[in-house]
Amino acid sequence: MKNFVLRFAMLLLTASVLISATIPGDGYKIGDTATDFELKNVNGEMVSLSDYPDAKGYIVIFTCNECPYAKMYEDRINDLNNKYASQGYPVIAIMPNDPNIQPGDSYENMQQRAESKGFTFPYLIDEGQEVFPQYGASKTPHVFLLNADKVVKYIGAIDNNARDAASADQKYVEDAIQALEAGNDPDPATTKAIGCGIKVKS
Amino acid sequence: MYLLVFLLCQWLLSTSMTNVSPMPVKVKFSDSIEYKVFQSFEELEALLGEASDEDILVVNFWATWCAPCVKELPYFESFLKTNQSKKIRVLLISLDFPKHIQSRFVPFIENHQLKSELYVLDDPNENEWIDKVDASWSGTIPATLFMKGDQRIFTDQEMHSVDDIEHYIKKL
Repeated sequence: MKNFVLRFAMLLLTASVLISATIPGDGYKIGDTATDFELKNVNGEMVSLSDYPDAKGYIVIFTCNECPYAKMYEDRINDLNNKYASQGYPVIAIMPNDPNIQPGDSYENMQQRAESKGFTFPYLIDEGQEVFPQYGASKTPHVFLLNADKVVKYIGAIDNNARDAASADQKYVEDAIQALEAGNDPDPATTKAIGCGIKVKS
Repeated sequence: MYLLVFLLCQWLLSTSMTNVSPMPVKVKFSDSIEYKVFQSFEELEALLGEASDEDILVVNFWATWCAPCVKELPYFESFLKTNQSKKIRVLLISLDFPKHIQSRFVPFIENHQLKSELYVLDDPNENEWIDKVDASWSGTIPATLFMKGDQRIFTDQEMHSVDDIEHYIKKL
């Protein structure tokens, strides 16, 4: 009987560890190593982090067409890529929403937006919605800055003023890249901002 | 002539200055729907702090651009209606941007004839105030805070019925 209780307790423990490891939305913490992905770009090509062997880091941004917050950051995301891709930190944007719930975020609409806004970075669709839960992205826009070894170094917002780029006096992502360049850990390593929840199949 | 232009500029400048008030701006409509704009989170905090220990406060963060928020608003409204005799207040905190208050927020509250207490929070420093609402909040909306005295229950889950709201109230 004692043996049975022990075994049952072990079973419960194992189950709880398994459950906690698979809870969606848990995602990456600072210091975790991100897994690579292979997602379709608006030009039809598949894109992975491994396509950038010389990268010193990766600016992975979950964003979309429809969210007003994401729209306000479109030009700033383009600016980030134009400034930092040549320095070894490319922007890789991922659209995590289910287009069946938000038709404005369909692949075709993503292609149109990338064209009309002149995106200089890959704009990938998270078909099957498997990548954003791994990262723990909860909203758009949501930035994950990785170093060359794909270690997560910064999670959060692009800067501290969504509605007006000129009024943003803390440029979180740019400051985080500068910290990495100086061999330091970004401070703050995480920030919060209002955003649109990711639209998931129910 | 130059003097006239100069005076006109001065006058325009002074009137535009008076519009930038640090205090909540109260606006009344012909159909008596009222709302206040908070320029900082501290003003909202002060309002919540004034509540008596017996008051139950339901504080919902939303915006007209947020589809799931708009979908759950009727549940808060009918919850308020069925609990009017009790010490329950429903505060709808809109995060609509200042430039959209007149063009989107005002038409919305007029069309829907909202009966809850209506506020707009215009504090861009989200990284500072989101944690003050609740440390577990990532910043997605809708989000709702249930308060009674020192008790606070926070959720970023969408309400799918009045029962969902009642469920949290019972926990207080």
